[in-house]
Amino acid sequence: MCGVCGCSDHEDKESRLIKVEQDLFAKNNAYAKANREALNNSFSINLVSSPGSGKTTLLVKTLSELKQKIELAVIEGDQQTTRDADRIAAEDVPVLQINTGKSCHLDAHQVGHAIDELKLRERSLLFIENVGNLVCPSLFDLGEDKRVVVLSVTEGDDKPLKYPDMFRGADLMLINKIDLLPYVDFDAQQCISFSKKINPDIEVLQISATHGDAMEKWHDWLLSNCEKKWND
Amino acid sequence: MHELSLCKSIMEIIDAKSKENNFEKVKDIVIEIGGYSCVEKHALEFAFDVVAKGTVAENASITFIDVLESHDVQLKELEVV
Repeated sequence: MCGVCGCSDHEDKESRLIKVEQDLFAKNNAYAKANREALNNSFSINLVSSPGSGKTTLLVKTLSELKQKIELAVIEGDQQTTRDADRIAAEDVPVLQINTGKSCHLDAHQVGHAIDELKLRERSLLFIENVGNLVCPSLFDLGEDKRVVVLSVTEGDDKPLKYPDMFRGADLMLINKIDLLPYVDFDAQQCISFSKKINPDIEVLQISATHGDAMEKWHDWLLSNCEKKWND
Repeated sequence: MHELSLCKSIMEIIDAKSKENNFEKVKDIVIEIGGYSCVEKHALEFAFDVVAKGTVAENASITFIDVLESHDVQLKELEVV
């Protein structure tokens, strides 16, 4: 009975506990697993970085160089616009833009739909250019074969320490815009040492997408990883 | 922020459980957070307040349990009425 007015209408009902024990990433992980199976005959890269590292320019240069050698496709992720997809389309490579709206990362469900729509040819090299963000994309497995983090020399050599989750989850770090090294305070060896501290297995390449420095090494890395998957 | 995506997952689980278990209101949500999970508690609470408005989970509190060496985020149990 209510102690205020004497009624029994608004007594506190007894609460009960319901066991749930569900992983909140389970749904995304299930979609990622399905993507991995759908991409079995392809090789896929999840390209991550903060905004402005040069991901799209890197992609455009890579596509231009590799399109005569291998089947290519791109999934672009941005909050708004098709500007990046338009740049890719100009290279005559199949591309699909995902606009995430308020969301700050791609997820496996969105990527799954994009894979269905793209209808990849066998032995395609698929690039998934994630939303520019050094934090959230690290949490969402998209079903990719390799995760590549791009860090430009204008961003600071201590980023691997400051954003460890992203670098811990990456297979390769591309240090980009090395043509600007004479003009910025970036210690590449220090950056590499920081990244190895976070992730001892991370591979590293130093490149300049605009000037072409070491781009051949990046392309060889891509093609040899494709070969390895398809011939194993 | 990614906490918003997680809150949408929480609401989907709550909706499914409310059909199975026939409850009117969620009082508390117990969530286990892994130390390596990169999920920020205040951001999750803030996002949840937004997502839960007008639902059975409106005004529900969240109890966090820390699990140090884990990447996982798990909805452990619901206290319901």
